[in-house]
Amino acid sequence: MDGHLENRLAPADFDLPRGGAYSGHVDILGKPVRIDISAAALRALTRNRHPVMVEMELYFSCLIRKQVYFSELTEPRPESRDSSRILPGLYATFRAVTTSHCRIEDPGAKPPVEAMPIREPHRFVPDWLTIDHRRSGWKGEYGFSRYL
Amino acid sequence: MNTDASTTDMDKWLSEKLDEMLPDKLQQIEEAKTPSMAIIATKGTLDWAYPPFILASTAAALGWDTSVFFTFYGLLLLKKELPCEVSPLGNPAMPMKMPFGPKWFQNISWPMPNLIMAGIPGFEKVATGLMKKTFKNKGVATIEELRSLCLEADVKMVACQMTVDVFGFSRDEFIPEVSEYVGATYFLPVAQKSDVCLFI
Repeated sequence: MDGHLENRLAPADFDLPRGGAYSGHVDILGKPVRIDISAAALRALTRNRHPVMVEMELYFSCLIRKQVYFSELTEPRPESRDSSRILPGLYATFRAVTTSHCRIEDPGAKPPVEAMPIREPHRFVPDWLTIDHRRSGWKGEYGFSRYL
Repeated sequence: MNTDASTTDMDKWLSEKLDEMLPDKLQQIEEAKTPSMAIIATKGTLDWAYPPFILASTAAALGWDTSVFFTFYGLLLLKKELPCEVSPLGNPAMPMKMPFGPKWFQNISWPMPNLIMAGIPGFEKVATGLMKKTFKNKGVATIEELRSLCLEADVKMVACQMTVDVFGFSRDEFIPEVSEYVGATYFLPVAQKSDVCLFI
């Protein structure tokens, strides 16, 4: 990953196919992940003042849950092997977490999580990620498919 | 030459040496050992498909050697097209809540008489759809994804050959990643040697 973060995505940075959406692949933890970004998301990126980080989280608990979080990077992150650049101004990372404890006196609250000590994390990196942007904000979804 | 005395001394020396070295050695062996898990999956409904795949993928994520023996209705979990459905009939633990609408509506637990659940055609399809939507709303991985994760993490998927024969399946109905088609006599020693054995 670059130590320097490009601030914004400019429409002329790459050729967009008809329809304005983007499809490609990015390498995350050594595994190629197919990325599909909607035209609305690309337009939102060009308007964003700061780079956007997409964090894919795989939560190991009584069920295995997938979540995608979006955050704006207001300052450059230290260089890391854990995040990958999808496009100028758009980065992705993946992490697996598990519940550190569940307390009965915290009903309804989210239990605190900690990193899951996965032996070979690249095996659990998703196969695909879609990014969209709607009035309510950023939307992301990822999944696994052995037969893409 | 007093051989009895020297044998006794030797035994005593050996015993003391073992007392001194053995605990550390056993701990080294224990720490270097890869934990193992064996799961026997016997059910093929949507709700019962989750536990074996979640436990297997979690164990595999932690680096354990994991095998799952799919037998009886559990064999359906190895089909290329997963046919998992769920029925609330005879399943009083299943909450009947709607995964759509405002929060107050979603919190209502609808009392469903057995007469309705048994009498309305297609009720199981509705219940299956609602459960899948509930899980999707909460971001829970699907059964297909969990199975993919297990395969990616080298979980060994073993099918019961007897079940294949009894139910008249053919092997090309199942995913090609099934490692073996065997009987219980093959899997029992695997289960015996594993650190954790679960019957689901």
